[in-house]
Amino acid sequence: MIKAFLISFRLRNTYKANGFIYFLRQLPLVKKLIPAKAYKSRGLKRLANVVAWIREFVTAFLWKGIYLLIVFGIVLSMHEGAEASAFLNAFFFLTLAGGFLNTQLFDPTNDKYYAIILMGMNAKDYTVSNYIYFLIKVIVGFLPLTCLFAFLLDLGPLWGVGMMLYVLFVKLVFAAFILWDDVKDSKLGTVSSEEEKRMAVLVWIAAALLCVLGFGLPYTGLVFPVWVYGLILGLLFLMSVPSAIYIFLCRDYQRVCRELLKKAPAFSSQATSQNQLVQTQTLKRIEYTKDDVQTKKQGYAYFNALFFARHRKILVKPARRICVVSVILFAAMAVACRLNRDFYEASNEMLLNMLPFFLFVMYLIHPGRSMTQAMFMNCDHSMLSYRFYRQPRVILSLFVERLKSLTLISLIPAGCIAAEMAALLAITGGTQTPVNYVLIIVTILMMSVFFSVHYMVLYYLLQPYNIQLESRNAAYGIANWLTYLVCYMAMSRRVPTMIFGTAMTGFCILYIVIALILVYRMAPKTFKLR
Amino acid sequence: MILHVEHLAKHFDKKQVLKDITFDFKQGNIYGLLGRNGAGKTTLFNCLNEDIKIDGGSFEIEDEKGRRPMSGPDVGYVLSVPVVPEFLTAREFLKFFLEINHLSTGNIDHYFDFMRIEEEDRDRLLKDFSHGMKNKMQMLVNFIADPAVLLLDEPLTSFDVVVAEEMKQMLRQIKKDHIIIFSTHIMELALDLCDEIVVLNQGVLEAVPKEHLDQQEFKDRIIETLRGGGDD
Repeated sequence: MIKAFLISFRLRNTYKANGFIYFLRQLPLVKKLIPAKAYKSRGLKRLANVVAWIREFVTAFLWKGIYLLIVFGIVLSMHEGAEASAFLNAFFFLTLAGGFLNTQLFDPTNDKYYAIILMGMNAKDYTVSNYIYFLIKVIVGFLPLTCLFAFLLDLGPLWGVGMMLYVLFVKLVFAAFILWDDVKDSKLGTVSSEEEKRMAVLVWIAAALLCVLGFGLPYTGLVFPVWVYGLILGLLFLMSVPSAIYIFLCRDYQRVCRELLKKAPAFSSQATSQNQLVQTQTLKRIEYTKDDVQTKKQGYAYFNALFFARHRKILVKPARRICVVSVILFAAMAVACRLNRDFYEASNEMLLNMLPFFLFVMYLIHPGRSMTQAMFMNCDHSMLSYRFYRQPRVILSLFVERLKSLTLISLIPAGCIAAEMAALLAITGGTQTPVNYVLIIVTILMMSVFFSVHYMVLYYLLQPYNIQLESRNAAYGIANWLTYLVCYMAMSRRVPTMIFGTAMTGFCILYIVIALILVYRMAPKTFKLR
Repeated sequence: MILHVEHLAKHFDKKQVLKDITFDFKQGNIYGLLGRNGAGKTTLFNCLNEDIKIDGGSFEIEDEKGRRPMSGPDVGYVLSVPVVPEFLTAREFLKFFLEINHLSTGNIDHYFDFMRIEEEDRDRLLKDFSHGMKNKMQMLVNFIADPAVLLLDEPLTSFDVVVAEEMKQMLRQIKKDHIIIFSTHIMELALDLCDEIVVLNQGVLEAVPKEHLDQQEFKDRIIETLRGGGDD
């Protein structure tokens, strides 16, 4: 079994090391430094192995540490004065949620698929040895951390040991239960996808409920006495012994793994990469509509109109939903302003100083990213292999058509939010400089146009995929990540609307002009299959 | 009409996929392009279709007006994995294609009839088409565009036997006005359909003359050439 574990560990490392080298070879400048034969380099592989061991070591502690720290932080801010009991309560419920959310035994990962299905490793040896390793990481990772937090909360070290054991037992009991359930399913035949979806929803509802109980229960004054924790731990111990025996002796791993690993991204020959799975999903979002509205249009305008009509699911429906939600929020805020003087004043102050926050809101609600993805997956992926579609004149005319459609549709929810914000400003006492009304409306609308242009320009200049849907341009991912980062960082900035509105509007206009010039100059060369 | 390919070369990283491709393809012929896995058949097509930049060499069309570089409308390329806009129906795709090529959209059904695409399929979304049906659509638009050179990358493998036979007939019908280069792994198909067999091996293209050989001897010679031991 140790041998099986070592082989699987090395296989996983090789897979990850190759993935890392592949990633490096996508980066614009680094690419030139790393030749294709880097995959053969023993030195690089050894380095990747060392990195993998370090990563194992760090993740054994890091994620657990971050998780406990977050719980600790929330408890400190929510339950002042009763931190220890509130922490234990939160830890108790969240660990239960973790019991069924984080189940290493049942993750359908690619490396598991390669080892068990493709290379024919013994499913039981592979699964059980890796599970033991997972449990060792739970013990080694949690013990010092739970002891540390027990110390910080003025609890004895025994509590630290108890918490670690609690996690261990919960993992074992849930794993045994899920394994038993999977064995049953694999004997009876596959579970329908409808049933699976229903289960997934139930799992998330249960997890949310446990979260609410974890952090909310102390508010009701209900605190478990110490003996209850002791009793639960004892009971769990009694349950975990047969659970562990079942996990270690179960003979049906081969069958369960065959069923389970059908969900591994590498399973289907039609879906060999994550992106191909995304494409399958994106294709499902095409909705048939009669083309009676579009029949007056011709050529590329006709083509584009139909594209947008058939992707209503991504565009119009979310836009409508955002409008409805924003109206409800607006109404709720208006009522709250009427009822509470403090809220009334705070809202007014917020509207005049927190316009940067709306940059993040607009980032979140803008459909540009999903729409450009649909453009590629459902249209350009095929069409770019036709020469006529790659003519500079065609690329630019379709770019303009698409930009117009995307901008117009995303202006609807933006306009709704802008009007509501202006109205809320008026309700909460208005402003001495009426130009603020104009600025709020113009800036929010401008942000929406900005995101439309931004996503379209990124897509046309950095189109990252090849025909196999493999991403060949890391710069695209980095640009998207930077967009998120900038918007996220803007969220907490407090800048007077007058200053931010003027600056943002000016920036947007400048950006749009530069971006459009760049597209006109460069897109005919850059917009292609990699 | 002749397609002159001269000293065409292409490499990826340090791998020289096409070393020195020199060949004249003549109108009225179907050329069967054979090569082992990874020999560079698709790369050659991608170069001729200008999907990728070539490292050196040239390809030109010679017709009654003289020699000129091959341009976009001269080439049609049918990929082995059919590519069609999934969000359109077959009729909409054809309407769009006819419009951008400034052809009459008056009788779209005539094209469907030609390609034997059933009436009930004509107004279905292409995403719901089978692999073979998508391939038919891809072939159809390439036939309509009427390019001088037609590059077909494993086009018949996704068709059922009846449709494959129909396609072969169609290719035989249109070959007199075109240069058709047909890449395949199936030797029987190449021998059945093609007028000339060309083998791509170690970056070089060479014709395998049938001369006076019988079918079996000809096959043996092709295999020999594919293995890299052809006559020099």
